[in-house]
Amino acid sequence: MTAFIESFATQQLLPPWTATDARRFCFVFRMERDLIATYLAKYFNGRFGDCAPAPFRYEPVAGAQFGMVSVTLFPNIMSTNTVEPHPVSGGQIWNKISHNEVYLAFPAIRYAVTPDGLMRDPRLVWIQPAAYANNDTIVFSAREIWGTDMFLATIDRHDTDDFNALHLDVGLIGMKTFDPHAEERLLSVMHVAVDKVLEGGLLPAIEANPELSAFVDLLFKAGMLGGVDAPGGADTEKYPHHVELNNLKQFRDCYDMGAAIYRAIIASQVSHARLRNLVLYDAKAVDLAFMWSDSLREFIETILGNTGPTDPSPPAPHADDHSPQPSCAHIDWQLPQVKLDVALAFSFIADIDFRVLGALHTYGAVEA
Amino acid sequence: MIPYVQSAASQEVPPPYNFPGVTVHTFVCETVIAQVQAYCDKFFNLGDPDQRGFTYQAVAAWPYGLLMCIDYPVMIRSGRGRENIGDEVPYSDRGIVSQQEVFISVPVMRVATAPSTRLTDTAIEWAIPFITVGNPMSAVCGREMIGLQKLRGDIAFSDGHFPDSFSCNVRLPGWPPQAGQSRQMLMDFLHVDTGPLTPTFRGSPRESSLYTLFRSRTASNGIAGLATAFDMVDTFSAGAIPTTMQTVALKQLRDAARPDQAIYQALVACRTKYTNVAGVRFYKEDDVRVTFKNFGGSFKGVNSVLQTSSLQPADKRLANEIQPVAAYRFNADIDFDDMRTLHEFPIYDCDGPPPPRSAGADLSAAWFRPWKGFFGPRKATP
Repeated sequence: MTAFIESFATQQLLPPWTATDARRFCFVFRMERDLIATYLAKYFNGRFGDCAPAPFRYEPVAGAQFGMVSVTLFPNIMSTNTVEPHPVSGGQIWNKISHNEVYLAFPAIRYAVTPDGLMRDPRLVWIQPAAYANNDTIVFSAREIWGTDMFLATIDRHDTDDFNALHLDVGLIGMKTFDPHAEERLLSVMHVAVDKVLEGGLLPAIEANPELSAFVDLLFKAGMLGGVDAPGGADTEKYPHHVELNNLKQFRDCYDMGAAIYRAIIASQVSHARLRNLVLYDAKAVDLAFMWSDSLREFIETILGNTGPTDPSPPAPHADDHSPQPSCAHIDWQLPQVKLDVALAFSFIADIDFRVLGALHTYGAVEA
Repeated sequence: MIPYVQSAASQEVPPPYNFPGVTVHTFVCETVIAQVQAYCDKFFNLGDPDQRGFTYQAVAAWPYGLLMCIDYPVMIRSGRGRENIGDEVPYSDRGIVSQQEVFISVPVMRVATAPSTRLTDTAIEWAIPFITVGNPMSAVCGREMIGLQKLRGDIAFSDGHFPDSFSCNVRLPGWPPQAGQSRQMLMDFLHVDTGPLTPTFRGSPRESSLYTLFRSRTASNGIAGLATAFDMVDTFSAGAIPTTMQTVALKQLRDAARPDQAIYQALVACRTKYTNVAGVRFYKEDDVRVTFKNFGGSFKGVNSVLQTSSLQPADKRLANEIQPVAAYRFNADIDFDDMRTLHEFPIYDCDGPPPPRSAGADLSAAWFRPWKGFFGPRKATP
């Protein structure tokens, strides 16, 4: 074994970790199968130069494609890793971090591929094309340990008197328009506002959008709708109650930035416990938008499938929010927006456990 | 070759970079040679000395480190190689980024262990035991691409109390010393205050000050001229005004399932080249106050190399003062380039078989590299 050399700069959140009383808001929206397939081909399938392909193939799930924007408020997150020595902190586990996190995820099926090219053992996994957090320790841990493509962002949550309501904004340093003279700004990336609670359970939402049925079933299997009666009276107790995430963990070669010194598919697992305070929202009343800029254009085009903004003006609550100068700490909202039609929206409070399952495949490795 | 897949959501811009119009505030501080050697042993001298072929040593003849506070108003990507981003706009055409950075660098000497390479593979490099930057993408690029363990901090540069003085405050995420059940928070970590630039109404510098050399217009102009004309000024000014800093860092990655284990460890070098050095002005070192707050584990990065003042033990638990022996500022253009992997350390038994990477080494000293092609085995005649 080769020991990792700890330093003052590697005080990271070592997995496994647990988060108590986390509040998660989920917004389900329709995605395009072709874009999901293209994404999976680019990041997970294929030979990649002279490397052997991974012994897995990722495919979109059957039926209609849905993705999910998740906003999670973590009041208390801590490492439960009792194996590692935590040498920097004198043996003390560095814990108790509070932060907010936003990610976009979609489900996919991972098949094991035999040497004969047969695909077998389908397994439902979740892919995260983008994730944002407002805490450095979390970002460095996610990127450098379990491979989530996470970025440090400004995440502003606006307090309201209504416990069930949420107004949250994400800002990221970037360029409105690519130009050699352009100066970076704290650009708006995402806006979400929701407050209208839906009465009557899930069935009305599914009846209004029958294609949601299969996706809702996936959510039940992930333990994300515990406490809600499953449509059709399915026994949800037999479901695994956890989500498997697959990330592409990769690092550049310092000499050739187009090459990777390490590239692997990392599997990790998220599970929910003590799920409570489940709230369903009127999806049609959810205001969810990504903001259009040159820095975000590629992401919006390749993941959301929009080739341009749907509305030339910013979200109504931010119509008058300007960022007066490039280095200003206030989010610049003077951008057009891409509104997403939300099909299902809900929130809950739970304790969340995260653990790394392992490296499924290391590219370029000599197989044993 | 394993290709890197650029994420569509990524905002990182890989080096090399050009930084025009940079302002550098430098504080020369005494180092503890034994601690610098311990740092070298911990981070650079890994594994078997005969196998790796070199040993890093503290430079006993130059027991000083530099605390540098740098304001980069413009960062431009200057690479001309392939960017692997398809049809997307090249990085250099996207716009400019600004950032502020604070770091400590100490000179270390890489000594080749084999007699045959003792001359050509021996080099002076700069280790960076502490570095923090305000721009989050800079922190990500530094950590993941070139192995600099950049922390992301809130950095505030400003004019100090006096005209033409300087003040710097750095806040880092951390936990109070008696962490207990405390949550992580942004805490004051470093504070620098200077008096006005010399000559100053606040008395004369010591005769032993570096300023006494530079108060001679001839010497001052000579050094500024040399800085522009030659890279050799590094030698001339004994590192006080670097024009070329070859940095070395341990680039390492954690195993996902066993984070106490590494999946990759290598020594990575980069060149920071200062040109158009101008406006060299000195602070009176006795007017400079550098204070590191002792919280969390962050101070260990500084404490490992710099000589701290003799505070009372009760105070030392909370803060450490460092008294610079020289302090000055200058303007320059900076090129950050020539990234290369000096040496890859072997990795044993990580999670999943490691990539078949040869334990590569590219240890030739900078001065020898242009001549390297003239030596070694002859190429086979066709």
